[in-house]
Amino acid sequence: MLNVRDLHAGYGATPILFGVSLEVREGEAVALLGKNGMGKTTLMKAVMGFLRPWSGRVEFQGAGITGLTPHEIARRGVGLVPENRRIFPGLTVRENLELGLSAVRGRSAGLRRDRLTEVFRHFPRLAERIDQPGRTLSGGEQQMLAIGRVMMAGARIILMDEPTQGLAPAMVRHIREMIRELGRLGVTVLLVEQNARMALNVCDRGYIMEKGVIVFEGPARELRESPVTREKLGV
Amino acid sequence: MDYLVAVLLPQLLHGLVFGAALGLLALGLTVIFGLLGVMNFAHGELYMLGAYAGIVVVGVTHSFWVALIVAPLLVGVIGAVTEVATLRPLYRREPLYGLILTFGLALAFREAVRQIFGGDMRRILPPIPGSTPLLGMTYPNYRLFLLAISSVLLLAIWLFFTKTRAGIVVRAAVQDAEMLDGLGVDVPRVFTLTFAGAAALAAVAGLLLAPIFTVYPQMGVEMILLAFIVVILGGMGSITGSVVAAFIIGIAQSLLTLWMNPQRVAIAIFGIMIVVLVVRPRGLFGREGVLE
Repeated sequence: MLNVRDLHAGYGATPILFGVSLEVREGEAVALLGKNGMGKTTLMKAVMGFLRPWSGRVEFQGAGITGLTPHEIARRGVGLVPENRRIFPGLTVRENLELGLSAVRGRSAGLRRDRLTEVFRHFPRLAERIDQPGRTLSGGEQQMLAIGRVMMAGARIILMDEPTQGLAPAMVRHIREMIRELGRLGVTVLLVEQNARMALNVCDRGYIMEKGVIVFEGPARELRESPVTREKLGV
Repeated sequence: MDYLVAVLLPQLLHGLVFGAALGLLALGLTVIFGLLGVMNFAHGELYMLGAYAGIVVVGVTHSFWVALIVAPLLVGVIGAVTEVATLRPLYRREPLYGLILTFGLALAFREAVRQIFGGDMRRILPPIPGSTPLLGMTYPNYRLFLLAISSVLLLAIWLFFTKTRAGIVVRAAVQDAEMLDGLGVDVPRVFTLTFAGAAALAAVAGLLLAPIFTVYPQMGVEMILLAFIVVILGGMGSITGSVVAAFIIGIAQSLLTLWMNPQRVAIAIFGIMIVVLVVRPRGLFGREGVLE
């Protein structure tokens, strides 16, 4: 479904990705693991179009999306739950969620209502906070909002960048269950995580990234037990 | 009591009238600042272009009211073209480039107008003549109209930003344009339309104030300084703040002229700004993160 081939990218003149290739198949949850500064977030940005790749190719559902603008990529069904959540602090929960619909062509009132209901079914807490500005939400609630936003868009694949960063254990469990739930809903997930144990728990397969290249890949079970995981991630 | 009615009250009303018009100018400026991260130095020239476009349209149609519709549209188009042709290529660079560019645009617009229309002072006659007895004084009808229409426009803008999807999109673009793009919004188009809208608002302010002030190529320079102060005072990027601050500055300016000559008024206005910034560095309604 998502195919990244030999991707090179960086900031300014500084290269970060040195030929990354990975694949996420439809319906899968795939973990992208690695220590800080190895290029995981850069890869997410390059896939989303925030960063123009220097070379290489990104394909989504069989069509090339390399070099497209972020809104074109989002409209094709790629959803991003970014590092640090990046909800709109001055907008209410409702307004944040409604912006999630931007990727949808022909937004009808019915669709909007159905999607809101769906999001609130999974995150009742957001319904309680519906008219509060995003900045007044706790970290966990902001994470729910960031996930709710891409659910509103009806994204076919969700790129999640460190969704459990800085969250309390109970909230980490909640997010973990939500990722499982997304799988049941038929949404494909590419998950970047520091918390490798959690990620390998919910994902089907995993990649380990080091210094801008993929150094290891395999089924989650294999990664959980492999000494390479411990060596590369220090867990 | 006589002093109150004869002097203070008219001056206070002048302040309200001026503040409302200044609000239209400052609103566009603060939203553009939120998007671009720099002050738009050419904003005063868009205000000036509004007045000149008004003169042209009044000359052709002999109607101020037609001009009030057409002139902002013309300036809005100029704004859109300017954004696409000059600002857009600079968005990925340091904000400093945008600052220098808008400064250059201001000079270019001012000189272009001087070439076409000459440097003479011009006037537009008030479309509504006469005065109305009000609270024991008589007050020019046009100024009352100006206060009314500016207030209606400010209210309409507030409704736009809080109640419409397009308004929410613009606010989101001010807060995090890249993320908004990643949600599927064509952000470059939002930038262009917002710039056009802000230009049109500046033009409305320029044309509305033209019957009270005089029209000349430099007219934007003085106003833009006041508008900058309003934006800084209100909290850069804050929409509510710029409206509140516009009324504060408008009224302060009017009342201070009772006791000071214009140069000292200008100093006093800066004084107000400095005091506010010392006490509240982010301005009256500024929030953390707007400047960073």
